[in-house]
Amino acid sequence: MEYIAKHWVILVIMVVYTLFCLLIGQWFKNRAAEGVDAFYVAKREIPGWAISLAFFSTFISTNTYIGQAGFSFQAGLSWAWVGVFWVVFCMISWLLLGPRMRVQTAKLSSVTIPDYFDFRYKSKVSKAIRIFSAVIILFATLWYMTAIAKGCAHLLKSTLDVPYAWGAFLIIFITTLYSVMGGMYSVLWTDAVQGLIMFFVAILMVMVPAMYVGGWDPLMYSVAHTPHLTAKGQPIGDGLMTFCTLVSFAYITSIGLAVGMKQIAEPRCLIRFYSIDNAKSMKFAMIATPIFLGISLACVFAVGALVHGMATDQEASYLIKHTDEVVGFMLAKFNSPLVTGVVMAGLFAAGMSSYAAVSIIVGTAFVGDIWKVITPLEPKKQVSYTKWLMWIYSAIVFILTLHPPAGIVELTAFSGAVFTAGFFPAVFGGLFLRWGTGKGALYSMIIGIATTVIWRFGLRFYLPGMKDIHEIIPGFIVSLIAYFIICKLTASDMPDKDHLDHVFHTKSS
Amino acid sequence: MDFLTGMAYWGIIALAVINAIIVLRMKVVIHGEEEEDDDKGGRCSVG
Repeated sequence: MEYIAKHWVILVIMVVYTLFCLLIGQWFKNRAAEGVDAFYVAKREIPGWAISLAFFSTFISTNTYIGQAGFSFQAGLSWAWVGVFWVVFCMISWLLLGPRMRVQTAKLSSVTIPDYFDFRYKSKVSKAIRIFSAVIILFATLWYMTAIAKGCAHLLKSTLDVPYAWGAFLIIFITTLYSVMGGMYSVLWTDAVQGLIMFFVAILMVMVPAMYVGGWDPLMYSVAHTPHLTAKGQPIGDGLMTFCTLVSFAYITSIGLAVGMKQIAEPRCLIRFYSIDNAKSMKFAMIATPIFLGISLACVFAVGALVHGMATDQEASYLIKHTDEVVGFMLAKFNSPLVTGVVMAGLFAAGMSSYAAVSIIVGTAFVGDIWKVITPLEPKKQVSYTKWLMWIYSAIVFILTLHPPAGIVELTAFSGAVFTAGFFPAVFGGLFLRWGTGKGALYSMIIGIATTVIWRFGLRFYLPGMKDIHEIIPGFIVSLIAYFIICKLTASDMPDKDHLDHVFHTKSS
Repeated sequence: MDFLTGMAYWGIIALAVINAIIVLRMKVVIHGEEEEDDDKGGRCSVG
């Protein structure tokens, strides 16, 4: 009874939120079972506003709302420049890739990113590209899912005293359950609702320090004249509010590119374009997504710096070295069960939306792009096997979450670089360059990933002055150059003219 | 807050506005063969 009396507000919010997600899964159960097109891409009939919110909630995870928000306690308000990079890549993704991807994938009846490579390039190595990219998805996604489950389990433990293993089980089980029930329908609709929650929670989070100190003016004054010290023991002074005093712009650029570029290459973001219903929806989503993302990031990235206004000198000296605990500290100090409950729902929404999105991606990659390519499958069996695979993969993630490998955060960040270096040239070339070839796509993938691995594990931390250059940058540049050169050298591997006319919607002469 | 720090915040808003202007001036077509129906906001043809 004492437990319920202490946590009842958070418990009620969490139970309502969970039931809502499961209800959406149940609601779309029959529609998702209508076929592969329904389960994999929701028959391309989802409105733009829902896709926009789903893209936003899928791209942003718990790490942004806890890790990045807290890091500005150390880096100051300049940390929001990372958000500028992310918004730029969001715009590039929607302006450049979105409309073309929607058109071409519909024309080719593509329902996954690997099968897009197969159908678009129509080459002797198409099947190899499809299987290779599916294997990359299966491998790289595993660390990402584990990191999300781990973060959410820690969150449950710190707020509701749920044992870590049970917390991990609940998060993985509930998210997989509604994803399996309603396929892409339930993933997109829950993502949309979760995106809406996250948007309002971001605004709420930035208001908490101001409410605590009694308004924006006193808060900004105390932040500008903080007596707190940096992690190295130097006085911060007005450093929180002056450009790059506490963090280098090179580091901001590195994180801005490393995370922001995921939006132009990661399957969990790109697959969103497949399901949009019409041109008006596309236009709406192209305008709305950078707005949702931009406003949320401007709020979230400021939180840590503003928490200085709430912390005593002693508290600040601890938090400056433990920035992941800044958001938890802020909620504890504000001491409002309602605000804590709502923010918690936002944090779980951020984690669950990303988990659900990648959960369906791994299921479709294994069954649709590996199994089906090796042994033909009936559509009904394909959907059924995909559901089973999602459960099996989640069981593996659960085991890994119980014993997370060292450096899971680094592995997660590294997987983003692998996707960008591996997939972007093949996606971009497929969408825009008629002369793109299957061999160019396959070899650029291999070269890009090899460059990323070599830079990360062989050069970055061993060459002087290279530490701040994230592996995504050399990986991206080398794979793009490799794509252009190899496509030109393997022009004979180009698909026939009729196929290209069909894909690029050009009239045959 | 100095100019460059503040620029990150109003810069994000400015980017969103610029993006909206670009999109409004763009012709977005996702209909494939049935482009002429696009302005009516009809549904997409698949395959």
